[in-house]
Amino acid sequence: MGGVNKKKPPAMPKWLVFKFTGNMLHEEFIGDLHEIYQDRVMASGRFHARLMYWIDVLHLLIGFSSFDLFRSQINFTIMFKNYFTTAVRNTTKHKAYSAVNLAGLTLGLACSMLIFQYVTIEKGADSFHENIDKIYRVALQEELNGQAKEPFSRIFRGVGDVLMDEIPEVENLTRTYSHFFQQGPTIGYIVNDETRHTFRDIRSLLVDTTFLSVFSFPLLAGDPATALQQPGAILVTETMAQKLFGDEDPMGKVVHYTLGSITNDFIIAGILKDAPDNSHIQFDVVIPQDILLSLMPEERLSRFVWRQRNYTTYISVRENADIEKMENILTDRLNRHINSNIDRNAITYKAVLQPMKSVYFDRDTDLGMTVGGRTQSTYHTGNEQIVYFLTVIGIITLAIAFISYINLSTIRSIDRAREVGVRKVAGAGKSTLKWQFFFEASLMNVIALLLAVLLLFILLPTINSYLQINITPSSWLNRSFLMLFGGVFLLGVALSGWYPAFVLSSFKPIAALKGNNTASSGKSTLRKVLIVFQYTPAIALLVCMSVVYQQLNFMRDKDIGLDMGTLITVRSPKILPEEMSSTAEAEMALRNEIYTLSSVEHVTYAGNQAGRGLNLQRQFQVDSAGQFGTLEVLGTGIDHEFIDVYGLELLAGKGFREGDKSMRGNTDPNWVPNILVNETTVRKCGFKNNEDAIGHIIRSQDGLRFNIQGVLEDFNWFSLHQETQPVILWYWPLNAFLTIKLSSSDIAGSIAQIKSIHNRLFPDEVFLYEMTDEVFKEQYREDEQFANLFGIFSLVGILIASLGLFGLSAFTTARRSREVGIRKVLGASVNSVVGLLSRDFLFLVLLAFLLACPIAWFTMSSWLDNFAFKTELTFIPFIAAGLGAILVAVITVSWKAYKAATVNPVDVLKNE
Amino acid sequence: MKNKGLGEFEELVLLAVCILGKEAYGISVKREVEKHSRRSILLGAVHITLYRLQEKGLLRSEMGGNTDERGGRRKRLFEITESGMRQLQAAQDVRQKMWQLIPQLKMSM
Repeated sequence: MGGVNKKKPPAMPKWLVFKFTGNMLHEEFIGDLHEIYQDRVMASGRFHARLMYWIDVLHLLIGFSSFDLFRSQINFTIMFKNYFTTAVRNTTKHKAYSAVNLAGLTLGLACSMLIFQYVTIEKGADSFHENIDKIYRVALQEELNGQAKEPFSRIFRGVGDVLMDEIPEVENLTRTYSHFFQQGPTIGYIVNDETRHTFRDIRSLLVDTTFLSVFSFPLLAGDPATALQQPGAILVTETMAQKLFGDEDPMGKVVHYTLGSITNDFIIAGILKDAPDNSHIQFDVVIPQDILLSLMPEERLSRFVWRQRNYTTYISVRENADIEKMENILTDRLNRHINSNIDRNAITYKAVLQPMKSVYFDRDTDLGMTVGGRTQSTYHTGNEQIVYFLTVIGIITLAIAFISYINLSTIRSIDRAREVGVRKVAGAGKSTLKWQFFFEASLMNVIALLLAVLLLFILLPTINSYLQINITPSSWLNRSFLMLFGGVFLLGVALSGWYPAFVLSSFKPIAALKGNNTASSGKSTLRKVLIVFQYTPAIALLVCMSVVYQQLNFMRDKDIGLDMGTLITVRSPKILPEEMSSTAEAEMALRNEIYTLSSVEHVTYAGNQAGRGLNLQRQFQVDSAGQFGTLEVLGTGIDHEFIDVYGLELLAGKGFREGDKSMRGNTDPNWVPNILVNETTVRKCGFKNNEDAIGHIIRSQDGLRFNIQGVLEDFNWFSLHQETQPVILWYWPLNAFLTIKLSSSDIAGSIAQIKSIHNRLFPDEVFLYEMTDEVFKEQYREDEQFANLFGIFSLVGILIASLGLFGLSAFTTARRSREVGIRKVLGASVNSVVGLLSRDFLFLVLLAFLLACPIAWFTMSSWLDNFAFKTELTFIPFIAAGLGAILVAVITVSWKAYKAATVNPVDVLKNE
Repeated sequence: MKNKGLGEFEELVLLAVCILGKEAYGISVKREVEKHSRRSILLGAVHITLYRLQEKGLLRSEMGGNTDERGGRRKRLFEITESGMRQLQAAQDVRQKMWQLIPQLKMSM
């Protein structure tokens, strides 16, 4: 389709050739260009061919324009040459002015390019899947007493079976199982007897064999149709393959993989390309999940299928499928299956099909629990609000730059009035003049664009590492980026070129030549309006920036109830030396050895560490005061020292003691485990007070029962984006995460000691540790990134606005130099003159500030709604930003004013 | 003025035109020069040089036939002139003479 059409060279450069070369040359040039274009399309693709076409055309035109014999003698060309000369002369004549103008434009363009780049990458998330429009993720919503709750997309395995068997519109289906709150999986490759490459906490995805036919993750080696069908197959990404095997050929190699109870050898059956950053699904390895089921005992299987929410289910639908109808049928079938498999009180489910296109930005489902652990999670989510904010900021920055440009070029009109007059007298029409100034504006813009590209090219690595994003120059060729940025840029050029052109070309020749600057006085209102327009968003950005940083500091500094200052977390060992028979023995040995260190105060084994999720996430039913309700509770196993390590206070009841009865290995179905809960659980369960809760039994939806033994003060296991969750903690003496409270301030030294103990005990194991508070702070990474982006762009905004203001005040001041001279002769002081020259501008900035306040207030109060715990929106950031902006404006304006005021009046007056 | 001499690139282009005989036009000359000199050359450079050489009277040209692959455009075919040949020969002679004056070379000969 379109094969013939695609071979056509671009029309625009061709038009240029027609326009700028003599008749005799068209024929052969265009012929040659056409021929070589065809060759290049064949040899290196359409893009390269088009690019070279442009280069060749420009080269030809520039080459021949220096070549007298063939210089085209068309009027059009000659005039353009003249415009060019005039533009160059004008630019070089007022170097400072041109530099200011160009700097503003360049900065604005560079910033907005960067932002639009980021925005397109985020917006283009998952679009590499060929069938993206047909793919849906299945989510469920709980309906309780007719009220639907937030949908969640980690659902029962059984839902997939129902979809496949009973709903004909489903064309294809794939499920992914991923571990969430447990110890991450391990992959290892034995290179030889001495060396083995082992990696822990890899991102592994257990999938249905249809995975690669629903999604378009490309394989670098292996056959996508069969790779996942082979028994014992595993697919790894190229990065993972490189880490495991170095330069060896990975195909067919055997690796050892462990996830919970699954531990097996797998054969590499394919190499996947790394999933792009903006892919919702992320992985290091992909494994067909049959293995998961085949290793599972029969009695667990049924519970697994309809009770545990471990699967994410994706379907692709047939053409013209009625999604709403499918949702209804699925809802109906689903509830029947669930009711026949388990009994639940008053809960029904509603099925929702979420288009794959929107999944990346969907943060409401419980996959959102992975917020912050972005690097480790198998699901990435983007933040649509940030993308939206950034788009606005990008446009604002560019608008400020273009307004600056318009302002500076119109003020220049006074200087160029004479030129316009002469041109008009010599016969130039209005439209010819418009063309001239439009040409000048475009020239300036194009130069600024080139400089901006150059600037970004140089700064990109720095920017990337500072903002922790990944933008490469190659993504500049992204189609939607080019369209978005190109569109905004051309619109800007058109507006910023058109307005000065309009003003300049409308001068009356006689007035202009006489030196009456009638035109300039009338237009100053508009100039003032433009200054306000420019400063309003700049100040608003500054205010927003301060609020964002304030919130960030607030979250960092707020006491969340956990004391993480000197905590480090070590993973419990997996690869044991021969003399140890069980993991329990190993975990015990590690703890006891570490305890002997003098720098260690307390040690605890827990199911996870703060900021990284909790193992259990269930609906709990509460029966108190005769009311039923469901409560989402998080929980994990801890040992007796947990509360000492995290510095928690026991408010009622008692804590755990060493040797308490644990659920591990318990076979008595009637035994009710004891738990500790936090105050939020107590409150949400409806107990009167902490003491009242002690001794009560709470029950989970799927039948687990717990006896409340103690109540802890509230703490936030997760970031302050979220409300304080109800948490339950049960006794489980040995566990996956060993968190150590150090008493010594020499953290590095203590870690070295712990490492040497670990490596002595487990020579084959990799020593992994994390600073607990850093892990926790990682949850704020996205906010920090946002704050930094905001910081940079608001500063650039104010800088560009100030450059504009500077240029403007410099010119007005120069205009009024004679007036200043006369005033001084008549006895005016330097202060009064500076005041006179600056007053107007400062008034405008003040006005802009007043306009900016409500905008910023509104924006920021809606942003702060994202946080369960938020800083108060006070007037301080407003005052600070306002004062900052005004201060910068004062310095900008009064600098020139002061210079003008201190000049000896004789110098300016003697010329008259 | 006449004996201003040839630039290096001009000489390559002239030689290419000679090699190509009746088939010398922009692209064929570009390919020929690229083939022998093993560097990549912009089309515009070739065109400009061809015209400059024509202006100097070392080449003459006429429009040739059209082909489909050129989008139906005709091409301008170049041909070397008497004086072009002389210049080329002269350039060659100068080099030959100078080569022979290099002492080491003489000894080895």
